Amino acid sequence: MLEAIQSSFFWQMMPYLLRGAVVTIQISVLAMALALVLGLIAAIGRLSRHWLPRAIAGFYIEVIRGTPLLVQLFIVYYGLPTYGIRLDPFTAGFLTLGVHYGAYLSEVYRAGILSVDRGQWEAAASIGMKRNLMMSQIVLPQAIRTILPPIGNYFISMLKDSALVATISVVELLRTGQLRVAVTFRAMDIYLMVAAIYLAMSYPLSMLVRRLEKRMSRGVQ
Amino acid sequence: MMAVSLKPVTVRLAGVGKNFGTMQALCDVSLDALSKEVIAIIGPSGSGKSTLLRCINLLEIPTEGRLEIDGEIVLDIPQGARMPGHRVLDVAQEKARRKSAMVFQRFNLFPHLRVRENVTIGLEKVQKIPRKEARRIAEELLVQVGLADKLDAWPAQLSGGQQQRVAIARAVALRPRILLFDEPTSALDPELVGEVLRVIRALAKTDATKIIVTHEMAFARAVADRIVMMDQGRIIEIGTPDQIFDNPQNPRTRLFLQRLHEREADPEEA
Repeated sequence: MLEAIQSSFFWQMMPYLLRGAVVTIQISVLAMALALVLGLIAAIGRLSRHWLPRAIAGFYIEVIRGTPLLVQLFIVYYGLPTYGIRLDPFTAGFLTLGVHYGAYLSEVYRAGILSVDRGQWEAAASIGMKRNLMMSQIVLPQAIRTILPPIGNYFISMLKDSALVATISVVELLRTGQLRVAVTFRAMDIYLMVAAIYLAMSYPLSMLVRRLEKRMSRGVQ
Repeated sequence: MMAVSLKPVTVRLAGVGKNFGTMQALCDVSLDALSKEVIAIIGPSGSGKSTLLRCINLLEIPTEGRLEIDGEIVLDIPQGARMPGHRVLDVAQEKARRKSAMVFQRFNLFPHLRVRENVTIGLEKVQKIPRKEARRIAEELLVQVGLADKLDAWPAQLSGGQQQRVAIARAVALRPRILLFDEPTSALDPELVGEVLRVIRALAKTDATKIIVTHEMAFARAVADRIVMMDQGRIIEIGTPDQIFDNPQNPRTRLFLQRLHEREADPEEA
C-alpha cells in the first residue's frame, strides 16, 4: 500500500475514485433520510392500537428483512420496468436502500419508544395529552437517546451496503473502481484503494457513534 | 356512612370493580368526593388504593361500574359487560383528564424538559394557553412551592422532594377540578417528606377536590376531611379522621392502625 501511495498511479486514480465516493455519500445520505422517515412511520404503525396499520407495518418489516437487499434492488431496477415504472439507476438505488433500511430502523425506533418509562406515558396522559402529542412531545424526545447510536451504526452499514448498487450500474465508489480496473487491469491496487476509501469514511463515523453512545448513557443532559 | 351534605359531588364512583386477570383489585367500590373536599385513602399495601385512584383519571379502566365527574357520566360499564372500544374509552379518558391531574409516587417529571417547561407543557400543548401566560402561571406556582431558584434546572439536578414539588406545581397549574395524589411521599427519603407534605397542605386552600393515597397517618389526619379505609379491594370504612383514628368501627381498620402504631413504636420489629 505504501508503495502504491508513493506511485503516480495512486495519484492518477484517486480523483476518479473520490468522485465515486461522493456519489456513494449522496446515495447513502438520501437513502438514510428516506429510511428515517419510513422507519418512524412503520414503528408507529406497529405500535398502533388498530389492526390495519399494525398489519401493514408488520408485513413491510417482515418481507423486507426476510429477503436479500440485492434481490430487492434487482426487482426495483430490472423488475418494475415490466409495469412501466422505469427508474434511473441512482433513484432505484437510493429508494431500495431507503426502503430496506427503513424496515431495520423501524425496529430501532420501536425499541427506543418502548424503552421510555411507563411513568412518562402516564404522566403525559394524566395532564391530558393524547397519543400524538405524547409521542411527539414526551416519548420521542426521550427515545432519541436510545435510538441515536444504533441509527449511526445502521448508517455505517448502509454506507458499505451501498456498494451493491454498483450492480445496477450506479457509478459510485465500487463501480468507479471496476471501471478503472477494466482500463488498467490493476485489480488489487484499485480495490485496495476502494476499500481504503470506504474505511476512511466509516471509521470516523464509528468513532462518532462510540462517543455518542458514551454521552447518551450518561444520566443528565 | 356517606356524609350527608349539600355540597355538590365532584367525583362519584358507583359499583366500581377492577380485575387484573383473575386477581380482583377492586370490588364494588362506591365513593362520593364532594366539591373542595380532601379525602385520604389509607389501607395495607395491595388493598387497591392506587388502583382506585387510577380509575378516576382512567389510567386504569374499571372492569365494571360507573364514574361521574361534576354530575356528568364519564364511563359506565354494566356488570358483566365487555370492555368498551377505543373510541368510547378515548372520549371517557379525555373527559376525566380534562378535569383531573395526578401527582405520582415516582414524580414522573419529564427529564428532557427544564423545571419551568415541565409545568408549562400541559398549559401550552393541552390547554392552548399562550406561552407568555403559561410561563407566568408556572413561575408563580414554582415560587409558591419554594423553587424560585430552580426554574431553569433539569429534573435530574433536583432532590426527590424538589422533584415532587415540581410535579405538584405541574398538576396544580392545570387548575383541575380533582387533584389525585398517589403516595406522593413514599419514594422520598424521610427527611424530604416534610417539605412535600407542607406543600400539599398549603394547597388545601385551592378549589380542587383532593384525593390522596397515603401512608402518612398524621398527615392524613391533619389534612383530610374524610378518611377512606380500604382492604382487599373494598372500602371497609369511611369517616372523619377522628372517627377512623380514635374510634374505628371495623376490626380490620383497628388491626391496621394498631400494627402501624406498633411499627412506629419499634421499627426493628416490623
